[in-house]
Amino acid sequence: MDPASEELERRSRYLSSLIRRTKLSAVPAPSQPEPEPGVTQPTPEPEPESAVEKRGEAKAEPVVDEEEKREAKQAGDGKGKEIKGKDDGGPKEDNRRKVSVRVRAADMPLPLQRRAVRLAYEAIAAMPRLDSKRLALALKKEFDTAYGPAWHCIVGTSFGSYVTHSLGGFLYFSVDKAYILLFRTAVEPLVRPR
Amino acid sequence: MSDEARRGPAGAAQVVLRASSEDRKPVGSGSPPPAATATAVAHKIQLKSADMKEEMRQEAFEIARIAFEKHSMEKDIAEYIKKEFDKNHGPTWHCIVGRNFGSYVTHETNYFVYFYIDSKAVLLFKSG
Repeated sequence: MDPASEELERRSRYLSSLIRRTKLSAVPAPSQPEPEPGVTQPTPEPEPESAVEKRGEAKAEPVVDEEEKREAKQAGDGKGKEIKGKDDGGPKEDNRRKVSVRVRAADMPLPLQRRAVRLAYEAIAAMPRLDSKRLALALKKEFDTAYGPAWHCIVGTSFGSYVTHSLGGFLYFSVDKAYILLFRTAVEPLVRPR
Repeated sequence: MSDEARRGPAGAAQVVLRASSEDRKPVGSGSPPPAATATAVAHKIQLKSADMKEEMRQEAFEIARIAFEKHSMEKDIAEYIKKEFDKNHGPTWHCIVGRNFGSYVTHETNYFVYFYIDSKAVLLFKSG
């Protein structure tokens, strides 16, 4: 099918450009490295596995769904984060810590990605301890409001998932030790009451 | 505009899990440390929240048990459960399995369940 192959090609190019941009955007993240305190807990970096499977089913909407497998695991202490680093600076900078941001997998336009990452980054920076539920709520609400329903958000340090998402509505990234899965599903009006 | 039926006053299901120190185990561990209360055959299931009929709920529990027997990786367990429900009850289902996660989702009426199987939480819902 011509439209299917075109779609696949377009997406392939999009993902390639995304990988390059992700690498570029990842560089300025630790802009101000701080000396690590002695209480740092060394945690091995998790290796998320992903697989993309496309379904050729036709739907009323011209939205192509994809199935994606996503998993995030973290060995060692899976509990909430604690603020590290002492307040050795002035009152202007209190408890600034190096927070890494990394896009692990995406099928989403860049402006939306930036919006999600920025919101998550700021929210986590404001939380003394990771509040997964609150962050998931904030992200879902913002995206439901800005881009229409229905968005779903999962936030945590240790979970695996298998979801089907709409075209252009999938983002899996990490902010510090939190992993965030944000995806969209098509909303179909109810034809008959149940 | 959303014609989709939702659960709860906020219009979305809220699920949150906090891992306790007792629950922390290495993934795919060879032997569980305290074998006193844990039975190797049957997995203990605790229902936490549901908007799902009893029959379908029981099916979810059974399929989750099978998934935990067959697989050890969380993503494989989630995959197995989702695919079984897509097959048995039509698309589109989503499944999250893990020790530590919070979530906020929109689901169709009567198609949401959140439960623990042993020390892991399973979130299964239909949307889209």
